Amino acid sequence: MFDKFEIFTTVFLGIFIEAAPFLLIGTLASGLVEVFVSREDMAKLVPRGLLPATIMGGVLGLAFPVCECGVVPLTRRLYRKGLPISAGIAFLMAAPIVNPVVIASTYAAYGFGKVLILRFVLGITIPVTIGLVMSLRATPPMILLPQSCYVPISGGAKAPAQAAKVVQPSIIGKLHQVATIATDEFFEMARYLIIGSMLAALMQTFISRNDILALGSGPVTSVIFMQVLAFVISVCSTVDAFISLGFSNEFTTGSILAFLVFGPMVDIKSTLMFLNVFRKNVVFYLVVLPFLLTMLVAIFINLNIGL
Amino acid sequence: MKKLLTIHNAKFMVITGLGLYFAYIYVSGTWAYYIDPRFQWLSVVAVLIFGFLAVSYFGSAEHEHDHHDHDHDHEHSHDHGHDHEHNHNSVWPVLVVAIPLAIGVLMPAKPLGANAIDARGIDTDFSSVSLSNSSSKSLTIVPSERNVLDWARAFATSTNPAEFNDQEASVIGFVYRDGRFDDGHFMVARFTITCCVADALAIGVVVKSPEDAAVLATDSWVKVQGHFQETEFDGNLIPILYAEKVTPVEQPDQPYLYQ
Repeated sequence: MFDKFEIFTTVFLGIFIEAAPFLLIGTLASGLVEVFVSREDMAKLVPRGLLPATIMGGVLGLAFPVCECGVVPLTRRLYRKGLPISAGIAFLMAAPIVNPVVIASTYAAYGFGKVLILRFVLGITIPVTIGLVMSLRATPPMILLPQSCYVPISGGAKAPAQAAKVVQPSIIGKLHQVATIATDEFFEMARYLIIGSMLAALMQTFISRNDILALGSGPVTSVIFMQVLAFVISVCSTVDAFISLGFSNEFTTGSILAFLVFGPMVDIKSTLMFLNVFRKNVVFYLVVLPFLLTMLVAIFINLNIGL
Repeated sequence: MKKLLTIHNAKFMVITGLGLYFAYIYVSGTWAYYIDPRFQWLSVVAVLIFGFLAVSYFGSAEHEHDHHDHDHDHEHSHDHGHDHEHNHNSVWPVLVVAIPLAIGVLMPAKPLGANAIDARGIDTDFSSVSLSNSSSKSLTIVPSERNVLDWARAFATSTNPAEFNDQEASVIGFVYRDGRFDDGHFMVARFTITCCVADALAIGVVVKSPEDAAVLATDSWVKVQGHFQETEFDGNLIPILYAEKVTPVEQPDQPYLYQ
């Protein structure tokens, strides 16, 4: 039993040591956005219509090289600055796929070809679709927790404090503010990252990989298997391409794509972190919708395209 | 008012502790038990950011938080049910974030070894070896220099196990055995990782020992020198390493091989 505990601690620390720096980068980015990006800037940045705004959310990741840990605090901060719901969800789900680091690692693993192209096409279209679906007839308070919502500046007692802040904005003072925000946010988000890493490490310690492999590799079962695997092992999207290579001999192309598209959007640790941004029922849809959409597309690819 | 053990101070200590822990794993080399060398720089990033946060946070008095909390106050007024979700003064987040620090400090750092294979499995026929662009590199390495992963890749690429007959090899790994192995056989195994230990896969080469292999403790590190010979093992024809010499060695500083 102590053996098992040693394996658990090694795997858990491994995931934590790999993921914590990315979360730190994300919370730091979030602190910088809070202090240096005004709500007016945000209003100027976001296009008018629902569809253009959502698509912008989907491709915004190209400017923020964050993986699925860092993107969560950043998305919440952007919401508080007034980013529309659909654009935020599209950003949250697409940024871990559509970003320069992930493009480079996927290219390194698979070269230029169908896997690379389809990963990024699906990595934008599925998040944009989910963003649009989630924003249908919903207002931000129905989707977001209160602390993620856009706060109008004209908020009574808030106004004088805001004015006072404008008077003393030395760069040191601002950096100080960035650090305070980033630290508080690190603690809020890291607890979910840590619980998620512990769950992933527990599964790895007690459930045998061969048992899971035995579940089959048909056009449908392989897809479901790879999506469940992506959810459970919760590896960082910057390296999941290399990990999927280990399965590419035995598994269908559709299932490999499902792993590469679904995993960055949703896994154990990001699901727990979503709970800090969205309402519980919304988190449920944010897990199930990407799962089903990815599954449908991947099965379609397996049955009809047979890459 | 001036309490020493406030949430604020606890956060400061945890952040400082984590910064020191990342500095420690970087300097001591134990990072190699957890992550691929490609991500070693991430530990430096962590040290720098934790350092920046700790220095700034230390100076920040509680009133800094007033501004930050204030934003949510009026929102909370219509929804008190979520107060606990966003209370900067709650003790739980601090305790949870202290878990990895406590484990990292209290548990001796140990890489995955033979006992971790039970849940992960290991093939004797190299069917799970993944072949990527980098695999071809393994084949350009002269046979005597190849490590366990290079050999596994060479075997997985080949359709004819006999082509390796009489090739000399010298490999380092830990001793692994299970029900498939009798006293004359064991496996010299390594874990390969791509990103971090979460994706570790065990690979290994079956060794036919010159004497009774049972004296070699499972999980101990050995250097095996010998030559390959196509042999039937566990129902497959595979290259087996016929050992001429098995020497106990120290665990290497970098216990994993990298895909």
